[in-house]
Amino acid sequence: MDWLFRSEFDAITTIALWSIAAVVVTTVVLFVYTLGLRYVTVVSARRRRAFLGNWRDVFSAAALSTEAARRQELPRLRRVDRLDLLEEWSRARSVVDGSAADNLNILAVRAGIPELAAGLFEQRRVQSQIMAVQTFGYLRDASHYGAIAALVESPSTALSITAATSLVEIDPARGVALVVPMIAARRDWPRNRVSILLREAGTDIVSEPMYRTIRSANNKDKTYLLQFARLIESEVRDALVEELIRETNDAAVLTAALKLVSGYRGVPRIASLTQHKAWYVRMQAAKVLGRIGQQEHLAILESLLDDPEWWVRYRAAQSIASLPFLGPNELRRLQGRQTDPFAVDILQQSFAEVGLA
Amino acid sequence: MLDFLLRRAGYDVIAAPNGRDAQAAIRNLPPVDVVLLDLMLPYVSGYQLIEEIRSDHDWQYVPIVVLSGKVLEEDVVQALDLGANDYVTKPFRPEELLARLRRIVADHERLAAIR
Repeated sequence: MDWLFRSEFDAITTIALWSIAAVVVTTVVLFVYTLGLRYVTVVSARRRRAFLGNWRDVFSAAALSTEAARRQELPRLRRVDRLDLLEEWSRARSVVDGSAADNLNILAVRAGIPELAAGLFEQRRVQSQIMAVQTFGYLRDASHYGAIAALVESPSTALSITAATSLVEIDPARGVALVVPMIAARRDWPRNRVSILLREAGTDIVSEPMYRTIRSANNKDKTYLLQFARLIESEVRDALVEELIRETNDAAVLTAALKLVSGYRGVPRIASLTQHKAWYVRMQAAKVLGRIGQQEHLAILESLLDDPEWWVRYRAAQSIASLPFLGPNELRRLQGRQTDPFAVDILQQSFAEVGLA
Repeated sequence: MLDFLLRRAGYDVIAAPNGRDAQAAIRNLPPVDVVLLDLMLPYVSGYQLIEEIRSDHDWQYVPIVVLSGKVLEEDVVQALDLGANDYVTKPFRPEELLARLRRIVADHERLAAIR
């Protein structure tokens, strides 16, 4: 029995000892490996920071001086750093305009960025294509115009809006003619990006395509597109708004159009809209009449003070309080002749807001 | 780039990479000549920072220039209503931005002398 016990004990001890040794060795190896990984990460992050720091200085100097963009010595560029360089250049290029943008484009050609973008464009990955398309736009590189135009139809929101933006940057007139009719259908495009795109193209280029697109759109699309109408020339916008107010009876279109009224065009029709069945149209019309500030509309605004909808009464009262030809005494007299308690209340509130309590 | 541009134009720059650092600067540092502010910042938005500056006893008169990629009318109106002195949209023209800063700082100095 004793020999059996000893032998079994030896076997278990041997297995245990080997297991402990294996665990210790594995732990040491893993520890060294982790240290190695950490070291590599720290060194490469430090190297990347230094690399980007050097290039940031180069980009900043180039943005401010054409001479620097053309002549300054460029830091050494390793193959593995080319993507970082493109990202950094894009970041710098995205925030500047005018001569600074031109200077950064000069520098980009010297640094080989067009070739790098062309390489990325050939890849099928959406991320790579977005970066390439954005770069072509910044560089105003027309050689890929057709291929970029095809990408505007992409189901990927990021890729399609980037392609649309690039087309407008490369050839504003041609790009706007293609992109503007698509805006209503591409509700997935962020409104901010669409506004930037239109603003960058310039009011003179955007006005006509936007006018035609809005005129031919259905009511739902008209309402959506009118929010971008502030980016077109004021004469075209005024004509468009006047036509819409005259022709349509759709409450959403009328509200969107009334928000854009800036002058005296279409005023008789606006005055008649204070009788519209939708309260928000009546409210907008009251607001516009206050902005226009004509003596002849005082009676209309006064009649809205007992409107069943609070907002209409409130805007009418605010408009009355802002009329330039009514002084404090006239306003108090106007309040005094009201027989409707709602009208008296709402005037009281509006007068208090302008310090006329 | 802004840092480089401003230093080259002769400004001393205190850069805050996020809203929280900017908030700490407002609370702990003496008022500066001008604040150049983005609206889309991590942790604390530019709008909140404008409100904070305008309600801070020491910083309330510091001019604020917003430099933002937000171009919608409502964004500009909101920033100006909260108390921003000027609003420049990205992409910006460096020389134009510097000219605006020069004017705003000069106006601020004149007003400070009167106060």
